[in-house]
Amino acid sequence: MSVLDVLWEDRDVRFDVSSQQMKTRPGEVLIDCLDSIEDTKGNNGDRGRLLVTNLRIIWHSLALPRVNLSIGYNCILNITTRTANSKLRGQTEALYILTKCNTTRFEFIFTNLVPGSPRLFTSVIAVHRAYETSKMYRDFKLRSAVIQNKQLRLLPQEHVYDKINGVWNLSSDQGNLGTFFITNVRIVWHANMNDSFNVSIPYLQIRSIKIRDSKFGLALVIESSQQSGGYVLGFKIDPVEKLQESVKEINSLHKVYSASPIFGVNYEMEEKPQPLEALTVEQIQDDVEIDSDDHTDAFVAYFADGNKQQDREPVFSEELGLAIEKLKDGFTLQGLWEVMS
Amino acid sequence: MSLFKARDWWSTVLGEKEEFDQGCLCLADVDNSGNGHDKIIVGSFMGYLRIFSPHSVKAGGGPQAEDLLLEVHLRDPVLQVEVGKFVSGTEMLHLAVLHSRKLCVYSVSGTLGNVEHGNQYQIKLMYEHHLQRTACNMTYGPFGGVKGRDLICIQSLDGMLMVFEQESYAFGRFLPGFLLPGPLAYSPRTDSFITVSSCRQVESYKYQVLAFATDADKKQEMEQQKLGSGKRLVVDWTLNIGEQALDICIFPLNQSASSVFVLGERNFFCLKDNGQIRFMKKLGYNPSCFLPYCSVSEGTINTLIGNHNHMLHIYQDVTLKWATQLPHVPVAVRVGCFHDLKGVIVTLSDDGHLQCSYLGTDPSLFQAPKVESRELNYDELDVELKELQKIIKDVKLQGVWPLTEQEDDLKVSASVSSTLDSVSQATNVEPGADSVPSITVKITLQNRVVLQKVKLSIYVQPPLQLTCDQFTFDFTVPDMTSSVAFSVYLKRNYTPSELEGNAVVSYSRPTDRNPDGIPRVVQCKFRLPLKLICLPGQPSKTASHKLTIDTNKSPVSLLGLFPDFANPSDDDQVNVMGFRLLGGARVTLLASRTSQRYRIQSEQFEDLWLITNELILRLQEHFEKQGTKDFSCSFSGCVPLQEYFELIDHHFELRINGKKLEELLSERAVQFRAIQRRLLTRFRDKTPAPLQHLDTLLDGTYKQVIALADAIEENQDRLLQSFSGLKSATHLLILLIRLWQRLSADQTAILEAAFLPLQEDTQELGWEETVDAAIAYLLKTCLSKSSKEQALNLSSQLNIPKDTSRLKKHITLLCDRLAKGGRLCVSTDAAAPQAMVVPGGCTPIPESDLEERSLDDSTELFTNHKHLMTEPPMPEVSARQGVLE
Repeated sequence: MSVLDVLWEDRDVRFDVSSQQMKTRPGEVLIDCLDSIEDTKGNNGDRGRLLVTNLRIIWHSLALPRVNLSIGYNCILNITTRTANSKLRGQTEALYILTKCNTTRFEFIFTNLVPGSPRLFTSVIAVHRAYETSKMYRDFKLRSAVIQNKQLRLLPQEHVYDKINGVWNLSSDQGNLGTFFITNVRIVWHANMNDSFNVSIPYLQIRSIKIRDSKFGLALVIESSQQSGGYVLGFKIDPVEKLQESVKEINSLHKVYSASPIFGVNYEMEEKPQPLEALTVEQIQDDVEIDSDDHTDAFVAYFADGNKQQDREPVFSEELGLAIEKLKDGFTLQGLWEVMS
Repeated sequence: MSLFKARDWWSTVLGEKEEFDQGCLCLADVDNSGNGHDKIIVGSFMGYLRIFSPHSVKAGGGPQAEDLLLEVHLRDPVLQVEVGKFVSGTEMLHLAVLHSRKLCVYSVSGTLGNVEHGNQYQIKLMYEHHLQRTACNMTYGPFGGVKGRDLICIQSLDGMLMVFEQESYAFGRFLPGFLLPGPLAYSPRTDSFITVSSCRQVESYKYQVLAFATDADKKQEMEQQKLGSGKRLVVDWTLNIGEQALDICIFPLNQSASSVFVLGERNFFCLKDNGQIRFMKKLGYNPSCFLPYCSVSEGTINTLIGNHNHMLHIYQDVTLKWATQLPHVPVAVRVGCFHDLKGVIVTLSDDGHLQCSYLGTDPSLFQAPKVESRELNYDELDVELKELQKIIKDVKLQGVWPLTEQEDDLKVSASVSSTLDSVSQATNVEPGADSVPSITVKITLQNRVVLQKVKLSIYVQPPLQLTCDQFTFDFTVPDMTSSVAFSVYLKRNYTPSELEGNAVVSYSRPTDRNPDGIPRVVQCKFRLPLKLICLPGQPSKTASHKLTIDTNKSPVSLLGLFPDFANPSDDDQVNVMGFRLLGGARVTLLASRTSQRYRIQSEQFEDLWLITNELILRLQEHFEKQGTKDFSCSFSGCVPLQEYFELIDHHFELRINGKKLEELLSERAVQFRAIQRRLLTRFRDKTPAPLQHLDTLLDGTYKQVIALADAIEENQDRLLQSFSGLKSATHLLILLIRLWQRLSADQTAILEAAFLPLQEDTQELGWEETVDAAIAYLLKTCLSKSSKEQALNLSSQLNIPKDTSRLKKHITLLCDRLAKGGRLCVSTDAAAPQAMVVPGGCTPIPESDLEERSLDDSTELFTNHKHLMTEPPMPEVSARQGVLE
């Protein structure tokens, strides 16, 4: 089981999660905690607390802790500051977060109820930026500029543990001879003949590491997570002893990584917030048995594009000479435009 | 703002904190795969070159790793990437990368593996040119009409066009009149380069003309690139567009013509091949990039224009056909074909958001639906509602803000130094015989709570002058004490009407509900010593104006009363004292040896006031010190109205004079403009005509205008002086009436309000008409003889009267009625529209230039409004009623 397939924190937008899911996972750290933040879109008029971790933003109501949101950075399309209308503050500057999660777009608006404090904007935007610019730690990469002059370009928190020469990549008929770099974050292979033919596989994206028989003989097979595209990569290392030794090394590093993942999101706050556990309010168990199927429709309030879960497929429009979203039956492009303008 | 949004087909974020601009994006089948699918080539200023082959994003996933075909770090910043037939001997597409000092041409090739991640791509450098000049941008095309290959032309930052015939350098030419590089494009139809120069005109240069500009540099072909050619280039055509351009694109209109599209900073132009405007479109936004992309119907061209408001507009010629919101501001836009989907819009933002999108066709008229599943806590809401209602009730009961605590917010105290400044602070005083002394006043402010926008303004009667009359303070913490000191001196050569000064502090007190603060005002008065404007002088026996004040106590030694004016040389003269005001007038004070009387005499009626007032104040103080309580002054008979009327007449005469002068000035100004107009038509005439002494006339009128303006200024000065005198005399008159009729403090206040309504008078609203209205009102109400007279006539507007006889009559009548036992009282049962007439209630609106200062002085208006701070919204009249009741 790869770390990734249980890692949902940065890749999902969830509503009204359980207290278990509110807690930080291994490798996740709380970066900032802001009191008096209003979720202007879904809970206008309700005072809440915003927690910024290295993987997601959590908002929960102070009055009802089970009213909460968890927004993973990977879903965020865009963060802007705009003017919003808050019940508690009136017209005020607010943080707009546009997200896309499983083809559904959600929009979130947060308002800082403490006037004149830009911290809400600065810390969320900066941490998201830090997340965006550290994708090499987490993303499966093909043919990227990770190799320069046959050397691995190291990431800030990365250390090379081993370098294995003579590794054949079995993705083509004749195979490609290359080199493995094994670090604390990922495995990188590159072709000796072509620096830009390479693969960077963070442990985060590894689903399984096996030795399997292939038409080239015994080979190391790395299966990447579903999220990254479910690639199956075959590598051949001669002799077999060396292959087994390498697999053992990779496996143990993978285990170490899974226990405490390095996500690479670094953001220094001047004042350290309290640990998340100290801040989370224990949810009071209701006496009444709640039917777990009865999901809240809380997410409805956050739709970015009306009650539309999914975009229709694109088609080419002769009228504009551009690709457009397929029109609903009975609509014409001109009709739509003229109604609007 | 369009209601439509661009739908994300594929998107990615490039690099870490990299920067991109308009040349950085290019779409082409760069690896010559032959399937017609475009690849996206992106170069960055950080030197990364990336090639993507986007696939539609599968549900639930992000962009796939295999979409990236190639990523290389080229070390030098990439200014522009273009794809064309750049290598000789082949018509395969190659990639040209422009660095600031280098042009590289690469071949991009791919080797397919068994699986997607087995495909490998490589770039191979075909050739490179090192540039002697720093490059700005480039364009390419079949220059000179060559078939099957593309040449490259690079524009350098200093204005040289360098042409490269594939592997070899051809020539370089400087553009004439070059200042800064503009966008550059090549038009294959006319075989010319089109740019927008710093002269803000579109310029077209024929390739042939460029190539054959001069033979001279052929000799020094080696040096050519360094020096360029000296010969002047001839421009083919120019068109002034009056703005800088962001980009130029050439798009074929039909078989025989093409269009030149220029995107300006505010407009969008379409030109014909010969530089004539086909159309232009004024843009209502700030564009960031554009692209003419296809011709949907014959004779029209569709264009995409992105702007800084995150919008992408689609025009068919000048008609807006569609608009869509983008998540980022695009700096470059292209249209491509990927995997059987044609017409995909590719945009790149300056921070590296690369997005392939299609146009969404669902308008987002979104309103958040009600969330039903969350129950409300009714108990809590009830408590909150009650709390809010209580606050509302409290406010209704107490008035707008709690008054009890207000006193303590800020304490203001003023202390006038007991001695004159050792070194006089007076500057710019009117030349006179005496040196002008100054005195220091110190104002101390002490706050209890945090206050905002604390401003202190000080006002003294002109011609007294302050060294500084405005101060600001910062009370960011409670219980602070700050003090300021300034000096007061007499600026002009006449006497002020009062020695009292007024310090007004305005501040805002922030509260929980109102962080901006509630504005409030505190004031504090101080009295300046007489010696500031007055010197001991020789007493004179004779004088034209005399006043006698009776008291009910035995006379006091004048030396004891005025120790600061005692003349040591003649101490025997205990009952005579002379004063010399700094303006020059003399006042003599005589104390009767036997009776309980004092006499004040002077050549000027108005000069009596200050000394008389000072005498009474000092007497009161003296007896208070002695513990005598029943001391009183009185004045017997005959208020000197005649002298007072003379002053009114003098003041009025000056006002009339000022009005006349202004009318004259306006006439002269009209005349001056008429002469100017005539002169101008003469000069403009193509056939010169004699001036007919119009110039002499102009000169003469000009002199008259200047002389009149001087006269007005002088008149204004005199008016100010006269008004000060009039105010002094009015104060004296009120004092005398008070002593004569033994009026109470309330009645004196009414008299003061009636007689001294204005701080300064103007042509539009002067002292005479306001006082007349006030006195007429008093005569018709509390001093009326019968109820018949009480019919109020309030309709008339206040205008400058024809003469002062009516006013004089009314003043005389007022004195008569008071003498006959009339009582001043503005009772509540009087007609409601009192506020219109009682002058203290209406604030004069400063209009003339003379009144500039009164903006500062406006705080002074509060002096009469004793109750303003406790009953803010009420007009002045009702405030006084409160006292009288």
